Amino acid sequence: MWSVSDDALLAGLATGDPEAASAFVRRFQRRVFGLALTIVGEPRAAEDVAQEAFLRAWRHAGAFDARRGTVVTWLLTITRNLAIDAVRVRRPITLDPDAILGLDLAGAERLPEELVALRDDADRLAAALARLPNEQRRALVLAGLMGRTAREVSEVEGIPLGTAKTRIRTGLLRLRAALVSEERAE
Amino acid sequence: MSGFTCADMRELAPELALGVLGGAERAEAFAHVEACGSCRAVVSDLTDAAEALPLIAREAEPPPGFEGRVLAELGGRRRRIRFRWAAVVAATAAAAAIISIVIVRVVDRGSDDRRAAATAVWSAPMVDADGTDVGWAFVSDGRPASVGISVSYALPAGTYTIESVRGDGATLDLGKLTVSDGQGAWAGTAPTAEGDLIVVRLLDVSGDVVCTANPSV
Repeated sequence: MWSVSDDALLAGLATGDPEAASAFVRRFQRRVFGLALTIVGEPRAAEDVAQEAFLRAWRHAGAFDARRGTVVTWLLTITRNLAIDAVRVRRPITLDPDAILGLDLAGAERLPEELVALRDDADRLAAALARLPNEQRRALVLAGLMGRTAREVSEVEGIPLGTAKTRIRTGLLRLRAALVSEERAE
Repeated sequence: MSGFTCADMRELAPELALGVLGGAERAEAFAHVEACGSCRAVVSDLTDAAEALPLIAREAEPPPGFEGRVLAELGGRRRRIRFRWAAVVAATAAAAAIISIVIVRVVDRGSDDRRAAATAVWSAPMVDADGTDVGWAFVSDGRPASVGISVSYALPAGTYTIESVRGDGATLDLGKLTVSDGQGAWAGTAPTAEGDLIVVRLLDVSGDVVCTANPSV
């Protein structure tokens, strides 16, 4: 029954139907909990964040605009923001960006033609990140995934503030260029 | 426009897109972007890439019972909201009932034919063969009856025939409802000279009933 699109399932969640809510949670819970756990680093706190993310999604489903993005990126943005808030309230944690991703990015660099063959969004993103210089990738993951400001990135990485800003900026610009060129290649 | 130049903004656009710009700078950056279309486009492009970053996190199995706890909390919050709305609806319905009585009494003083203009309404969930609510139907018993249908998910995309059944057993073809991406809505009228509408249902292209609204069930 639930072969419906993510958008339609979100609409069902918004109407308050228990079956739609159940299907929505089942479809996204691994992603939501995984992201929360990645950022807060502790299962109990991650569960609290993940639960609140689904409640926020239900409450704000009417604000979702399919023209601006997908349901999963919208839901993960909610999760990320909640997780970052939770981390800031509890304690600042310093995790290694590559360990956070659980990907051997340094050893997983792919050739461009292999990149084109990838279809899954997460795989495409991982491949694009893998092509970034290590220091830019670390700065980008710390800022973009963990919510660290440029000053915090400079402290974690032991580099000047200006260097941290440059790495974040260059990393995101390159990531965007890689994703756009890959879309065009398709 | 803020004190930032476009060159300043291009430097800060990635941090703004990633949501990690500090408070004062963020406020100034937003003020600039609000007034500058080209910088707004740059930030928008970068935001697309920034919002994709959480996809990189590994999936993980939540603890046992997670789904149940989320659904229980959702149900609890819905009930609290429904209770608040029920109070509003009850107050509105009471006010409407008073107004209706006044209208009917005024109409009664005129011609009997005009009593037909007095309107009552029923609404009921549209239920599929599995007993799942897939939408709602609203019907007035005026002459003609006004009918409204909305489905918000669960039906496959396509065009459905809207059929109603009158109290005298006659079936009426009211028109077509198109469902796209799980959503569809229709509003129109139905002739009810010989009996009120007692059922509204949707039929697929094969003529099979896919869901029914019946207030007596």
